[in-house]
Amino acid sequence: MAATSKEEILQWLEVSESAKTMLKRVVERQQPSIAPLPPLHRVALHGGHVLEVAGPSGSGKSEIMLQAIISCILPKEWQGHKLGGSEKPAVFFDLDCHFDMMRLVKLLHFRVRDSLGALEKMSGRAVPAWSLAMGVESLDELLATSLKRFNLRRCFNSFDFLVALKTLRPFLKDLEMEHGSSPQLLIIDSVGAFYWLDRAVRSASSGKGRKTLSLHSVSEAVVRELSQLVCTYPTLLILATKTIIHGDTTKEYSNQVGSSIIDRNQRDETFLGAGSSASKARSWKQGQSHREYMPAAWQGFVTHRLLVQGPFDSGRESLIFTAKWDLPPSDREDRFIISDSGIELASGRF
Amino acid sequence: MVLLENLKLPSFTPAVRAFFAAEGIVTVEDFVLHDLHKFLAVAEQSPVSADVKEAVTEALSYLENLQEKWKGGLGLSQQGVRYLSLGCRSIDELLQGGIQEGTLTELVGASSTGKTQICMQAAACAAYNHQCSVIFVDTCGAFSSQRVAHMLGGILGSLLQVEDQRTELTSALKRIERIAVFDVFALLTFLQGIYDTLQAGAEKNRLRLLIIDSVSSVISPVLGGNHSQGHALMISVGQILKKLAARQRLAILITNHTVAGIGSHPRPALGGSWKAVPHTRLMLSHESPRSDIYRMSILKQTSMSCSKQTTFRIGKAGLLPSDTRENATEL
Repeated sequence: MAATSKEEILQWLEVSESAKTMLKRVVERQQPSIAPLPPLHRVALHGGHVLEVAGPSGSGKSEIMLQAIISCILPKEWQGHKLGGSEKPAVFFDLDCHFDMMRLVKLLHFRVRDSLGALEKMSGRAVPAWSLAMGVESLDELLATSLKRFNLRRCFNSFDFLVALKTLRPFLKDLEMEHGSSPQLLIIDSVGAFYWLDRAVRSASSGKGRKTLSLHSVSEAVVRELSQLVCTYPTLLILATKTIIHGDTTKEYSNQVGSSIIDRNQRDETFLGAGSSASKARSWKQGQSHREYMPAAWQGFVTHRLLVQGPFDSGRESLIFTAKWDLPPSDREDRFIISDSGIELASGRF
Repeated sequence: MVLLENLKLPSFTPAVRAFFAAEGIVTVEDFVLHDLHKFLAVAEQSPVSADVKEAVTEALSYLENLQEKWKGGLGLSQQGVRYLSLGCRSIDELLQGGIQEGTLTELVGASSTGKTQICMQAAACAAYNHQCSVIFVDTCGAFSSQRVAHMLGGILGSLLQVEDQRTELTSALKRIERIAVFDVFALLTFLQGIYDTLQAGAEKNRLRLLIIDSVSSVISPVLGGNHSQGHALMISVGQILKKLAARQRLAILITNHTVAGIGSHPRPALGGSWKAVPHTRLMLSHESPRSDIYRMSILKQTSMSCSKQTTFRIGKAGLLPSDTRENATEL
């Protein structure tokens, strides 16, 4: 007994890490995991963080996720051109079954072209210079190798999701072997997808003290699996979307777009009639207080939360979405638009 | 609830089972909810440690094999997208080719804004142009085979051609199967039945389109009150539809009626939680009570920016872009 304790003490006293390696580890962890693109540009996200993007259906949550995926899977550089990616694998849990692969490919194309666009402007030619210099094949190859870093799994209920999480470790190890770097991004879209199903299970009684897949036990298990995963992969950033259930359902419909001409005109009036932009922003918020429905286990796990709202009619062609940090709290509200080429910050007066 | 021993895995020997049971793991649910790291750490000290470890690995791989696998991004991007045309130029243009396979498309509109007409036209078009079978789940008794026959005539163009292709028309009509369902339980049973048949792959089924007209009329009666069971039923319908779309690559077309919202603005009967179910939500409205022109606008769409709209006309022989007149021969 004494011998083992002595060994243990010696082991404990041993140098476990030099200052250099420790600094390297900490600095590495402090570097933002993904390129800080709007609307995620205000807060630097590192490995180990859990960001929840909350908003009503159709408010651009999935689009923000797609953008994060692209930043993760694109290489840093390509043939001497900066692409700003991390060149790391990403895993995506599609609980809503709404993932649109074609949209991801399209956005990837736009992003690469955008990054290479500088050359085009310099040469001032109608034909993009990079396409002449490098050829279409090598561009296709770039897209293909980037897409290989992306992995998707669809889950149709909480049971599927838990099994997927429990068997994730060997899969991540395979990814690490294949791509030479550990996965950096884990996305859950959306975390409340099985809320009603799990809630109903709770009311169905379980005999003999057996555990059931109730809302609380599921989310506790999910959080436990994810935290254990973060221990193994400290650089892993977790992003999740959460669909907000509005307390006030009557408000919801007026947020929908293009429902009818009258509806639209009315909203234009409220939009343009208000005074400063700040007061306008506030008027949108009214009646949109969101109700937290995820169990405490999940709420405690989330380290960052971004609230998105929209779409709002701007009176112009593009629709406006808003993003505001809830955790860490901030008064600043960013407005962005979603075009075919992705998310852009809205500039100028609307 | 399934007992772990019922999985009949060879590594679950009585000694291993006893160890699992001592830790409170009897059912499959217990197993997935349990902290397996802690469990294995406890097992380290027991004589059956190696066997328990093996049993955990085997059970996990068994459960994983029941599910969808991880899919690589490259493979997914090469899968391609197929559309089922609706046989009306203006609508197909709006939807970039029609209703997309593997997704749920929802039509929202007040009564007599053309929801059922679009459904029947979609059925006719899929059965004739795409030569595939169609299941039409009719929950309000609005399906009319005669009307579908007229629409098939409209697709062919003129009466002369109809005479020539009578046999083809009949076989197209035979490919459309209409099922009457009047409550949510029957709907769930039916959908699960389709899923199981397709999953088993018993028949080389050519089913590509599933229509439910209307989904709201069976779901809205179970909603309301302070109970969450209604919502659970609703989301169950959504889940099985998503499963059918995602795993069997079906195109699914559903309709949702509207109810009066605030300030007499109509709103979808299934709003809130249901909104996360369809991939595409299309709003239908009547331009004015006098005209025969209808408007379709995109309320929600995952693959393109929203707020686009188009107009169409409902004629004797089906849907037409609003800028064309019906052929005299059809009248």
